[in-house]
Amino acid sequence: MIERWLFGAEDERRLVAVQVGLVALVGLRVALGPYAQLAGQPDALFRPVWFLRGLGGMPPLAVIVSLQVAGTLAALAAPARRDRWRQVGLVAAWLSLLVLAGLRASRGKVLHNDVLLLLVCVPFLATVARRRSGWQLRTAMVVVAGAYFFAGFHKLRLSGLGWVTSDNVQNVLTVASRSGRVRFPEVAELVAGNAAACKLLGAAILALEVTFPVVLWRAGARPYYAATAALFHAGTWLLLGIDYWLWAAVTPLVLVGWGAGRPRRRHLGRPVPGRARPPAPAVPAGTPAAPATG
Amino acid sequence: MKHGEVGVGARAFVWTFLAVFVVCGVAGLDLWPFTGWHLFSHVRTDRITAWEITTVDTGGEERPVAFADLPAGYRTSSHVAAGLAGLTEAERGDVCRAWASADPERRQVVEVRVYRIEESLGDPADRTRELRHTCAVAGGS
Repeated sequence: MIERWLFGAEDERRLVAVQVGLVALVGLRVALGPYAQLAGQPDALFRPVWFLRGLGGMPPLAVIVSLQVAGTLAALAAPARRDRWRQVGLVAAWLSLLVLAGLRASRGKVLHNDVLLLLVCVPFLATVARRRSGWQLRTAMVVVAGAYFFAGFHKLRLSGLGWVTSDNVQNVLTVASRSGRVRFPEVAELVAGNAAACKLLGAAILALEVTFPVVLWRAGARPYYAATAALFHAGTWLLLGIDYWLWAAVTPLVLVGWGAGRPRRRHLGRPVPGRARPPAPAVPAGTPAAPATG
Repeated sequence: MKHGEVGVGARAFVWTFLAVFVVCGVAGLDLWPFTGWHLFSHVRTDRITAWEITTVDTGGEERPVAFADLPAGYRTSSHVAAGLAGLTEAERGDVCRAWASADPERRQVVEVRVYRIEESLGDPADRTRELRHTCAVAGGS
């Protein structure tokens, strides 16, 4: 059953829309991400991720900027091309982002800002998003659902319900409000001052995360989860000063049916009171399957 | 494309990719960009732990290193400081020299000190500051 869903059909226009959206996001991130600031790091502070261990230290500014330019150009060129060339553009831009984000994560701290976009792109790197071949999008959906679910799973595994019921969220917000990275610290302070609101917020976050896999089998739930996730990340920026705009963009891109054709109007075959039953619509041979996702 | 029409290669690719994703996710393994998804997963109590790194110049003046004012390459230094105990003496020396070289006024730094700070969120007076590492910086920065 899982295999049948994973390798099921999708609307071609939706696949193309998601692929173009991913190319745009990768290009924006490569162009605007804070990678040039990494240059000049002393070698002793370089803690490379596994695939950058061959490097002795952070590359010089010229190398980082060259990667940004190459990735941006590849992303700019990709959407204008068809099929294979769009895929080549995505691969080139994605490789640039992988290295740049990998360098950013090579400072002794695991960073998640770029991870969701990088992983969601992986299925689209392998083959051209072709008509009715939906596994790229379905795999990306599993990654999105899994990312949120695992974040919640580890909160429960390591902290239990105390993550919600203790003063955890209050303390997180208090630390953030004093960190200097929050643009409006008074907002974080205001929320931190209300214990009940903090517990409610914690419960909402945990509920969102652990129930996220619902989007895999309830297509109708996808827009709601996508909107809530975007709101969640906006709140994370407002209250904690942590920038997860990529997650806020990737999640709706993958879950919402952008570019998909309207599903066939099912009421066409249903008798309407006071009217004669219309004839069944003719479906030409080879018509793509109606999108199975919302 | 019908169920049976997806190639064997594509199927193997998808299942391998998802297997790595799920194993890292369940086990909490960080094999970046596959990660263990530990996002604020530990309960924050009202006692917070932080690391402070200071430099001492030839005149004996000790000043904290303001990492927030330094380039991004320095800004995760508290994580590096937390892992100093696991480094060899030579590696610790290299890290300390890197911190010493970040002095914005180019003072002649002779020593780097690493403190572990624990404080209460509710009572700033309830604070401990413990010297964990000291590195002599040969020849100054």
